[in-house]
Amino acid sequence: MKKRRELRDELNAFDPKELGIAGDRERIEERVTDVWRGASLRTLLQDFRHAARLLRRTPGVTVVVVLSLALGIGANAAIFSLLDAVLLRTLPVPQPQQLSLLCASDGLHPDLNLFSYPVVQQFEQRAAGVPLGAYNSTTPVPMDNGTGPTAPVDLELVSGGYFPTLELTPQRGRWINDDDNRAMGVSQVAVISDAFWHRQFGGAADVLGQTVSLRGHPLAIVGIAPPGCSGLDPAQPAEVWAPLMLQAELKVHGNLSNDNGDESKPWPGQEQMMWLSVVARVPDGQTPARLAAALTPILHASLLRLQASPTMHVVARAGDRGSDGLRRQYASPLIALFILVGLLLAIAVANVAMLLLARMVTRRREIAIRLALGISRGRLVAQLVVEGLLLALLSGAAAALAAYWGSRLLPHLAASASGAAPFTASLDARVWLLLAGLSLGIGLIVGLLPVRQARRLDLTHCLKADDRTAFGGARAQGRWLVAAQVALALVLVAGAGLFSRNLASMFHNDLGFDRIHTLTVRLSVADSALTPDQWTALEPRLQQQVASVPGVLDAALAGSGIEAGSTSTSGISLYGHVDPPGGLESEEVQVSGGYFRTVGMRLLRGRDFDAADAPHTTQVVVVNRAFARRFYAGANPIGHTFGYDAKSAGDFHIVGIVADARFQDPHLAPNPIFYRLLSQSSNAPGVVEVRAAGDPAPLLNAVQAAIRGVDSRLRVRDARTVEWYVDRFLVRDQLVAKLSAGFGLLALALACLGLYGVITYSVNSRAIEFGLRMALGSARAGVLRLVLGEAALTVGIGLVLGLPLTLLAANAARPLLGGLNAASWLAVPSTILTAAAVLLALTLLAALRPALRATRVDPARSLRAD
Amino acid sequence: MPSDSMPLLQGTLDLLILRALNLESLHGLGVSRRIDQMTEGAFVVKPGSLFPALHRMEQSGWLRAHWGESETNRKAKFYALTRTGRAQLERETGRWQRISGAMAQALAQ
Repeated sequence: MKKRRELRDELNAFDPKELGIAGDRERIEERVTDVWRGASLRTLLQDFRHAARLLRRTPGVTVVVVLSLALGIGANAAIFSLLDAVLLRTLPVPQPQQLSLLCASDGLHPDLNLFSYPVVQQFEQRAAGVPLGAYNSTTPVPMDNGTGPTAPVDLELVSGGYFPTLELTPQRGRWINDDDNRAMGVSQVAVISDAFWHRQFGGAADVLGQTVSLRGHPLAIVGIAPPGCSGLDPAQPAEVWAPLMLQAELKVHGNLSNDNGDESKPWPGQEQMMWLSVVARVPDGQTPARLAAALTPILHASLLRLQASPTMHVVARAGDRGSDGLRRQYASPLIALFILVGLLLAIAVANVAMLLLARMVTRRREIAIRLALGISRGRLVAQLVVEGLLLALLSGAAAALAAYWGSRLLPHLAASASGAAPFTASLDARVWLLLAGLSLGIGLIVGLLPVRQARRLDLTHCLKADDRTAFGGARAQGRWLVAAQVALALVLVAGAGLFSRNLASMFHNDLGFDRIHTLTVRLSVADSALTPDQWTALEPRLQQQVASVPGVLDAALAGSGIEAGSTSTSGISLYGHVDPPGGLESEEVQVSGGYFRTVGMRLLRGRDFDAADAPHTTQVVVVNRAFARRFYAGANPIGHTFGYDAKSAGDFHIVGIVADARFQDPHLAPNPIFYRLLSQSSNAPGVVEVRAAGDPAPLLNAVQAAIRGVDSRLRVRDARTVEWYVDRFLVRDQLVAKLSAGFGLLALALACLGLYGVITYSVNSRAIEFGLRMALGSARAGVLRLVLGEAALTVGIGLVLGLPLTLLAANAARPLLGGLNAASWLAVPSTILTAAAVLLALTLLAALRPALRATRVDPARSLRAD
Repeated sequence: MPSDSMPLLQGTLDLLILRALNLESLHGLGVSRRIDQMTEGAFVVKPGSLFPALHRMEQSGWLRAHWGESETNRKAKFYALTRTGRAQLERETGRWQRISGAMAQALAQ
């Protein structure tokens, strides 16, 4: 506003009368200001036009700059959108930081346990003033829309306190309340999500009072949740909510831990059925830990009633972002990817900086002349910044496109044969803010970088004929930039190698069973349709029928599918041993004869079950290696006995040991398991395991038909290859491997481009030197050696700088490299060294072209040129 | 204000200002008085056109401003020609002479 004050001073010099009548003065001021405005706008436009002209004049540089920045920034924004969706986004409820998720934990295992409804009801009474809500894990339930079954809907059963705890208001109608949960199966109502309302009812206004039919039960729609509300687990959004008391009617299964309860009876009344999670809204000023401590005695009392040891207590975890299953699984891979993509951006920026420095050198004449003609340094800086901003604008626009495609591609990368991705990424305001901020920041940096050069510009030096040294500093700077690039690229290339090899070793790791040829068919039997005697009669026929399907080698029955591991854990007592405090626990699986052969599990010692093992002969068990190790300290357990408690410790005779099978997540270490015969237990089989001669997938239908043919009361819940389940556990590793491989390739390309650029520039600016050398008799091979030697030195410095960095990074990423570390201790160092070798070879190859050009310098011409 | 004063012709203001500043630097109203004097009152430049024009010409690099003392001992902004301003004056003078010569010839016939 200095200008405006000066204008006032200027006009104050005169008698107001001389300037005209009153009011004219303001008009004068206004018109002069208009002149200024027009002028600055014109200058800005001029600068932009000038910048655009310059960018057009070197289209190659411009395209490379814009592309590398767009890829770098776009990839960052896309990965950030994933990070944001999975790790950062809070639930769309008022004051989400007040929410706590309550679980039962023994403090040792990361697995968290659920509560029975009777316990939840006591929680509600005890936690006076703290709103509590209970819910089960979201379960797909078949829906019937009148014209036949449609795709299943994701159902969540909730208590009356659930929605009030979230403090949400329905956009129409009411929530499910305590009255809906007064009696079992009475209140047949549902609340639907906004997405479901639009998808199923087209957003019709008169949806309240209509019904949604689940498993043949028409539920009256009483409310619509606000947009964005999909329950507490971002990985498993719910579409329909119904009262807990409809569990039996809707046959909701979901996660459950069953302590001798009856699964076929309604769960809400049974203290043995632990199937509910609890969300609490802890008011400011109170602590979740105190709430958990206050509720723990209720849990202990319940466990004691069930004759279980009260080792578990209630724990409260932050609930502001909903359930953290997905976060725990993806937090470290996503952070690793975010760091990798950040390094990639740094490499891209270094490249851009080098290109612009090099271009600055070719423009030294132009700038020197303009300085000589009296352009102020301020204007020159403004022009350079405008140039940087224009580049940023172009790159930002291209990056927005890259981010858009990236965020749509990422969930697909995380998806696998086994189904949709566990998350969706969307570009929200925060992602756009990051993108705009990165573009602008980088634009300013690359714009201001040449300014430092321009400041140092020695005018007379520049205009002299031998002006090649005026920018001598640029060459050294370029060297260091390339070295830094190589160091960062090594981290990325080694990361790509490590994660890819890790995935490969995961695929080839011995899981302890044949996952390629095995099918798992899960049975679903109508409630109490078959008595234990009927089952006993049915089992051999079922096994035979399935085994006789063409293409099937073997079939066996089991209580639980191999993909699920065991679904029951039992306390055990070893004969002749004193139980340690807390007791011993092992997983238990009931199987039919021929099971180990069918699933391809190796017998290590002793014998398999055989035909002589009948329902009333000695109870025999086969244990896995982890069992033998854990409970018998590696001594041979065959011939020993154990039981469920001290009284029955002589019941189960160990006859064989099988290899450990890592049923579930192959990242986890095996648990102790013992196998019993179905015929010696009272349980019914839940699955049929099938071993195919070749690819098992084509047999799915024939096997299902064979099962139905045995008895019409047998139904198939689902049939899948075991590979499908294993795949699902590797989704995370696949995502990391694919993305890091992509980043590694880009980093390699950028590093090669960087070295190529710097060597080209160096060769150009040293043409005289090379000319002289050759004129003085140096051989072409000597010049080649000189140039390549310098390139190798630069890359070498980069690798030396990069090695400790890479080792640090690989060490930090250890938890993500489980498969690789298990394979061999050499795997990590050998991968890093290979990456270094690849980087060295490829960058030197990139330097070869300009180096060869150096050998073709014509001494006569280079010495004469200006 | 003399009754026979004329409205300024398009494009003549810049030339008149350059011409007025050819001999010495002047402040804003000094320029308008000098133009009045040079044209014997034929052209009157109103402050509402004068000051925007001075600032525009300063931005274009034709004029340079400095602070001085006016005849009434007040702080005043004085304008002077720059080198480019002098070149511009020569160019504009030549152009105007060609125009007025041609006009005079056309009207004499």
